Amino acid sequence: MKLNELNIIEASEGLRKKKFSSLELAEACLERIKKTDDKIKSFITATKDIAIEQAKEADKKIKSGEMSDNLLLGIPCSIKDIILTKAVLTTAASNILKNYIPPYDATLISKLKKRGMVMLGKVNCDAFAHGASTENSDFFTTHNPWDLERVPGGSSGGSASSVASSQCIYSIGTDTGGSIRQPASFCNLVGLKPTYGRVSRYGLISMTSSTDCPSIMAKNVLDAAIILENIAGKDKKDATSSDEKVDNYKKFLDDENIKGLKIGMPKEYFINELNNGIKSAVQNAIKKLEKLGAEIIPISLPHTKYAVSVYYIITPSEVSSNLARFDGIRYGYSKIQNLACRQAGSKFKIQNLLDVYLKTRGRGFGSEAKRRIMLGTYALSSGYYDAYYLQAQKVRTLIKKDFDDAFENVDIIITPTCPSVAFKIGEHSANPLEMYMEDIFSTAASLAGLPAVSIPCGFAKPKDGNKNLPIGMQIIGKAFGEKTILKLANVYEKNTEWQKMKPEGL
Amino acid sequence: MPSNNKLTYKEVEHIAELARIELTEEEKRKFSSELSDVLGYVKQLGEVDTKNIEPVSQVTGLVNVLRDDVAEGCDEDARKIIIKNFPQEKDGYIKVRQVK
Repeated sequence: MKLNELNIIEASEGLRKKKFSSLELAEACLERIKKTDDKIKSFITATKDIAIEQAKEADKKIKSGEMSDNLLLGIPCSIKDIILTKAVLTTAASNILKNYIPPYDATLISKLKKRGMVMLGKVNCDAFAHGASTENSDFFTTHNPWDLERVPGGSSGGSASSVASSQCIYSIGTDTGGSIRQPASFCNLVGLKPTYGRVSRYGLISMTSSTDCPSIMAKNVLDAAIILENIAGKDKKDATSSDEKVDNYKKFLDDENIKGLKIGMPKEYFINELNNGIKSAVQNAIKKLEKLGAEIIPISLPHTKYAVSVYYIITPSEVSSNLARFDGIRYGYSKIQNLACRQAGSKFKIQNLLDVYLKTRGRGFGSEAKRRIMLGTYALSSGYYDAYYLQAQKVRTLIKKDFDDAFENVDIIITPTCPSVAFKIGEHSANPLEMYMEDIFSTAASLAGLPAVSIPCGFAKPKDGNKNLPIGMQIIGKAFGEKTILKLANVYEKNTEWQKMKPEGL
Repeated sequence: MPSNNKLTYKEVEHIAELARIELTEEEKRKFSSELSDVLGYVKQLGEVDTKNIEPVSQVTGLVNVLRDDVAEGCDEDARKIIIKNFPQEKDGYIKVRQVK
């Protein structure tokens, strides 16, 4: 097996036993990126020199015996380009930030650096994380390693493609309404969205402040648990971060007994319209868990069908506020200078401050960013605030209450992660509303702030193709119940072979 | 919920002005139709009975998370990067158009 194909545990053991160095590990990944990224296009910014320097530092630490229990030391990863990395170009995949250099690291990056991360580069996403396919990147589309004509999912598409194609060992992305879970499902990976507040949002380029979660893309459940331990925790720079104790998630996976664990199966997620292959894969997975000792309980989450509507009012509303800072004044793309044409009377002339805002934002933002800003501006405007935003906030309370009520009787809820397997590039990009419907199973857990992980549970053929494509199963837990959802996910993974399958022909 | 979810061209112009985004004519037409579609879909929220339901704006339940009102400095390399990001700069200050 090539070094870049290892997972965290295998790589860490190899480093510990001196079978190879972190530098060799990094070089294997860099070689893989060089060989495959022309076709896959995961990376916006490759940070080869930084990776090599960090790998050499890690090797020094390993040599001096600093390894002990630090499993992330010297392990190469990719970072979604919506997370700030000091002195390294961070663009949010948007033209309006195409020249932006952050003056500070996100808290999760500081934590990973202290643990000896090796950063291979910043990976592609939908611009400002607005999307479910990575087609909304202002720069280029990323391709799914399982079928290059298809999307890797979004918005953390680059995170998914870089891990699935073994360009790196793990990736950090974000999940606001499904953005780590859906790409994980499309690419046969483990995508973990922690409880809102579990991981500090400081240093995330904000999208929907009330649901944004730094999230994990990993090759297996144990890797995800290890990463979570290292990035979770209270941060005084994020007022919404929780001081709930960070569990020893990895240790909790040692217990593989799920007897008596109550799994809720919400009927609203197993609708007739669901692709048959997905429905049967998830149902079979649940049957398997039942054989392993879990108790399956049918439940109802009655407000499920409103989740997408609530999300697509709340998200644009918060986006319209969060993206107001991109105005061409302090950073990023700017029309503050009248570069285009200096003739008086020309329509390109920047007349005043208002022009700077109008033209900077008009030229700098992509279509989806504009759509969301405008939807949000409308929903929050006088005369419409009560009907749209306030109503959405109230229905959000009901959606959360559905989960709270269900969790009185069950420990875990299982659903399909998304309604389809990876779709073809271009299939939904012309219809924004169709793209929003991709989030149909993932938004409710986001709105309720609950932890949710997507893990591989099978394969199915799409309507328009012959290749078998990955299917993900979503496991939702109580607030701060990551150890329970990871335990169940781990048990399922240990008793199946799905995650061992890798895309071929790259 | 408003009974009419169609956004007219004029309304799109108004919203774009509020959002400080200059749109092309084509964009105004396109967004008028696309945004109307989305508003038409989310209209279903009007059928939910939310009498006596409190809105939730954040799910953590945390309140009044404060820190001491003490200015924290900025390290020199961060400061240099911040200044380098200014679209227009003079002597380490941001240069902007006159606020009229």
